[in-house]
Amino acid sequence: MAHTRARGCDVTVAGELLTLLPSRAIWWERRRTLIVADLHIGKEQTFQSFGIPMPSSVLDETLNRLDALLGHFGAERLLVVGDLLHAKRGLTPDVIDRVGAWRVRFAGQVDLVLGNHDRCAAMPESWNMRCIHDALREPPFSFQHEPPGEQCGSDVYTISGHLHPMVRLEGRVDSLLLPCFVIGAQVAVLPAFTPFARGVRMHTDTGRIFAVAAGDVIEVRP
Amino acid sequence: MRRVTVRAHSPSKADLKLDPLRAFFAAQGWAPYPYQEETWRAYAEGRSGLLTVPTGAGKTYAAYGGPLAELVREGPAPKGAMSSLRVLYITPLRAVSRDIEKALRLPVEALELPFTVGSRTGDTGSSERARQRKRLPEVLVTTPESLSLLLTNEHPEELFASLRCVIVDEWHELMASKRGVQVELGLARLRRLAPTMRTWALSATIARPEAAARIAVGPANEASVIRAEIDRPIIVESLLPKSIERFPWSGHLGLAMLDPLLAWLDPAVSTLLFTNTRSQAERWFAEILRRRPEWAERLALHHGSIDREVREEIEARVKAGRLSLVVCTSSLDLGVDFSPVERVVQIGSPKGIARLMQRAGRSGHRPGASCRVLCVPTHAMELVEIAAARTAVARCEIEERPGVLRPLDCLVQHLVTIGLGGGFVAEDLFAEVRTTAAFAEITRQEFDWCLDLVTHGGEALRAYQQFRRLSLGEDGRYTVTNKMIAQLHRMNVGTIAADATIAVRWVRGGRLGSIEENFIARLHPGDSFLFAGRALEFVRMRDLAAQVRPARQHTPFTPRWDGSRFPMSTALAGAMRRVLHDAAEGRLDEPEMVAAAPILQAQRELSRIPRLGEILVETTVTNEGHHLFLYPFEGRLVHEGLAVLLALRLGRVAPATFSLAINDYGLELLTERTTPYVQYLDHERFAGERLVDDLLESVNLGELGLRQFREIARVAGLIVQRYPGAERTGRQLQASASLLWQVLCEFDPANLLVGQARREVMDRQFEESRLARTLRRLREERLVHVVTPTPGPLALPLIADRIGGSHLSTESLLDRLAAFRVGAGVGS
Repeated sequence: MAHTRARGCDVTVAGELLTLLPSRAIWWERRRTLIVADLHIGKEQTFQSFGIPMPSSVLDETLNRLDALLGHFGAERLLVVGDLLHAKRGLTPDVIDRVGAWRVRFAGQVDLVLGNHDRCAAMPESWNMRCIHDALREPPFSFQHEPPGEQCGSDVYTISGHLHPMVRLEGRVDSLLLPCFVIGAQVAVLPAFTPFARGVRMHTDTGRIFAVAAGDVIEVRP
Repeated sequence: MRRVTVRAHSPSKADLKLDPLRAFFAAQGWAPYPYQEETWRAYAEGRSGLLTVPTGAGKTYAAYGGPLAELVREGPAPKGAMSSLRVLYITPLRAVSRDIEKALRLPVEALELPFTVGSRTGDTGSSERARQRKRLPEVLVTTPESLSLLLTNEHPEELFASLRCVIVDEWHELMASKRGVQVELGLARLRRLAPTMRTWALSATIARPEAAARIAVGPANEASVIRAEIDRPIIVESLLPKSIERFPWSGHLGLAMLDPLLAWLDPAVSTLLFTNTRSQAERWFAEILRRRPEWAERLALHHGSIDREVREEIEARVKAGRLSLVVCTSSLDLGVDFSPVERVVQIGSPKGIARLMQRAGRSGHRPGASCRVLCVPTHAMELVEIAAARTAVARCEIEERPGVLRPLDCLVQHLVTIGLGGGFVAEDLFAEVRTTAAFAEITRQEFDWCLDLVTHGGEALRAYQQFRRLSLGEDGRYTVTNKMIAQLHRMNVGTIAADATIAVRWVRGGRLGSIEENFIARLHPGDSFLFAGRALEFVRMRDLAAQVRPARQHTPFTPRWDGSRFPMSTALAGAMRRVLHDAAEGRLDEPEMVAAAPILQAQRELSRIPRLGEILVETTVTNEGHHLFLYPFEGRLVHEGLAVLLALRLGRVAPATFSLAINDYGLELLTERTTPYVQYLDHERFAGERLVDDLLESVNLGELGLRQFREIARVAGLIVQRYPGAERTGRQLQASASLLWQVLCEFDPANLLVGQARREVMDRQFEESRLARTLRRLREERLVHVVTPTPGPLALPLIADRIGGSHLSTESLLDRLAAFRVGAGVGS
């Protein structure tokens, strides 16, 4: 179920043009880079190891969606803003092989800014990734997994993940909870790339909110 | 128990075995009721069965007497024997296990018998548990959950081989639930471990006790039914409004009756005030306290969202006679024996006959006293409901409670339980679970699917390769070999679905209770709400708790707890149609009907009062549009299903957008179109075929299914509520039911548990089988159509409810999303 459509929402952040994609990723055209966060690879397998039957095909969907996006844009680089992995238990030989096979399919560079979950295990060598501790500086941006608590200077704009932001849209009768992008004054937060994650509910006072719904990205105004 | 002077008794031969019992009763100054003796004899003859006792005490000793006499005769197990357990007493109420233990110990101590009586519940301390590991007491009180835990013991045959009798209390409550299924499965296992074991179920008055008995003893076994003939009349009274003209026509809080009720209440007389919803309990408690602050010392609030410790303290104070007015919900329908309670008040229609009788039975525990309940109507038509309820109580028309059929989630859990408890061979366990009523018709295919789910996670082997809860040994037995799995299972066994709740805490610390997550999600910081009898201001969410402080302004809004409104039951609905028929014939026999006469007269003049065999349809035009009202009097869930079904089927005649409204009496379809839809209310629209398919087409099952799935996921072990030791495990396994539901629907749609969630939605959300029966009524009975110039007394409450915002939408998710885009603004 890969979304290959280029539909999305263009926003200008710190002078750079970014496209927010309904597949829960950001396309950074100038650097030909696809930015994602929170893949939580191996989460299903972690559940399985505790006896909870979750389908392993979640990983296929995640990798297929990555393939489709990278191919569609002709991306030269994939930048993961943390939590590529879920837990050490999830790093099974099968998972290592399937991600390794994907890595062979994608010829570009993969940069991983390590997140809290990634510190549980060493990345398999076959995945051929550059791991960055703490933060990756690429002016005007700084990429780090957890959004900074305090603003670290007006010349730096941080792009983060970690929160798995969600927004609640309320109708008269019921409501929907949707993954979203948050574009704040100095911090942007990506939604989780994995379909298998719950998140933190955001309000419009944290920044502009762009909800992902039905193959589209929709700005939610207060 | 009756107190009488002891008379000489000449025992017949069959009674000889019961001598110790008679001695005990005599020593207490009691004389056994005939039904107690009958039960003792039935047990002595080796029979199993069900004992129904209307209300009040005595049933415990009725069931316990037989096995106790047997225990005395046979003597204790030799020292060192592993198997010492003889009598197992299962209660669904952990809070009363101590009281039961005391009652069971009384004769043992009085007769100086060499036996121990103990309990094993979630509250049992570790030293007691350690003692029990060495040797179980002869008589053990336990809960369904703790029974499952005992069954996970690695050598259950040693533990249970000497078991003679299992007594299951409150069977009427248990049997229609998944906890009841858990007990059924446990009993089937125990019968295998101790083939001579007898089962006695205890229940309040129920419909079809024979069927209930067969579920308890297993459908293949012979079951006796013993009815206690105790004359304890139930008197249903009501507080009548002074003027019906100024009495509300709809609504469910009922505060219009606050003044008359305050005048009636007496803080010196112990009284339980039952409400139907937690929000109603909160409001009434707040209002009574506001108007009678001097009662604060003797007034309390009790409902399921209030912390257990606080609830137990309230229960203890009622029992001790230190609290006299308790506003409560069904949280006090069962449980602690409240002897001091003299009066019971029911605010709003009880909505069911069994519930009304149960609540009435909470009063008048003195010997020979009758049970009285005062009903307080919240709106005019509830007068009719109360009158109907009284006639149904008099005729003893009680709702049937259908058992739960084939809940696979319970089976999945049971497989792991037995896998831990010594393991099993698939064929044997399949045969064993088929001896229960719940799984009598399970197919081998379904059983194998469940077994697959716990051995390799489902049919798609590759899909769950990391997965192993059970492993198949070379000896052909399935067992649990992984310690972590064993620990997780033991910590999470049971079927009580904890709602997704969030702790409510003061900003400065201190816990108030817990509240549904859905409710908190709708609050914004600064909003105030009523909870646990206090007006609170929501400050923020922190550490999975809602932090609050006392509210400054006093216009709080009351939480609306999900699913807390009962639909009118089949029995009450039938009685209501009957009293309306009488009213249509001009017979107003009950005082409530006399009070409601002006309303009924208005209905008669403007439209019609439906007679038996008739179903009333009204149409009228207002500036809102074209209204169609249909009054089957079948309860709100059925009307909800019927409304969406008719909207779909009428929409096929000529497409339209309908606004829908429902209540316990009928439903409304409102449209702007002039199409004479009423002409199409015919056999085709009321057809029973394709009922489920059409419902599935018209309802957004996603959200409803999810609600049901939460419980299933928890029981089947997909959601882990408690984790062993390290908190890190917890973080790795965090997943909400909504997330699992979404992932399974998308990635594993053939999962039988997903199917079960859909089936349970149909059943619980729309009472599917009752809906099917209603459709048949609609086909067979006479539809009487009246065009009214304005909406009448039956129609107005529906309109008021719809405007109040409880209407249903027939729009799809995407339609609604489109509406959001317009409303919320769209990005480029």
